[in-house]
Amino acid sequence: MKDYSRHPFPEYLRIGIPVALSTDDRGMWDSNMTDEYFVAVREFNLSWSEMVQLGRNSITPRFRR
Amino acid sequence: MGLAQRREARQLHVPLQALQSLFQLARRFIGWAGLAFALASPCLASDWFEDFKKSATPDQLYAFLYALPKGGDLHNHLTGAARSEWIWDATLAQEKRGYVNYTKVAIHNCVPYGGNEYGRAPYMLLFRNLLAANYAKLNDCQKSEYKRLQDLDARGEGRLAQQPAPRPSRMKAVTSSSARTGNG
Repeated sequence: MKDYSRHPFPEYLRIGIPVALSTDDRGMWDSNMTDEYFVAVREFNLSWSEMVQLGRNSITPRFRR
Repeated sequence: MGLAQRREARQLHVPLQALQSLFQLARRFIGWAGLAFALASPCLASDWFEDFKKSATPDQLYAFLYALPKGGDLHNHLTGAARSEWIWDATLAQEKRGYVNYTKVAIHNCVPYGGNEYGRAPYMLLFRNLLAANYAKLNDCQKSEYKRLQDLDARGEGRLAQQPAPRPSRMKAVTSSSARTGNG
């Protein structure tokens, strides 16, 4: 993807689909969770409630039955 | 652009100095008590965050996000999680114990047309690794396509000099190794 404006992430997030940020292959992409959040905040202007929601989304499915 | 941008932000001396200046900035906005209250209250926290996004430098933003609890990293492949430097160091350590590895750095058309490029050992794939015992079974043409892993160092060193300093924070211990894979 050349252009972040074409990325579906903010649309999914803002219409309520549970999404979370992940690194995929941190060794291959030379990335970490801070990098992913950094890009998301800068490119998609995440609000504080969206930041909190992303954190929740990454944890709650783990405990659901 | 994402990678360059992230690299740029990561060069900064992340934790201590950046965090200090970050907290000075936060204090300017609302003071310590205000910060504690803002983090406890969703409404004020969002006001603080909007102000912070407008005024923070990239390194202040990165330092803040580094310190922020970020939940879980749900999609992270074990085989892709290791940094290439870790694998490089581990492989060279094995070499001292008798496991000499060769890697393919060139294609000299040693194999006739008709091989299976979709099989387990595609001929056209570079950086395929072989143990010395399997390397020894190759013909001379094929041997000329391979190099010992530790012999990759020479060109890797030159490229390393052009690269920016290794990442500053918690990875320091790992990247301190000067060994880097070159491309043959």
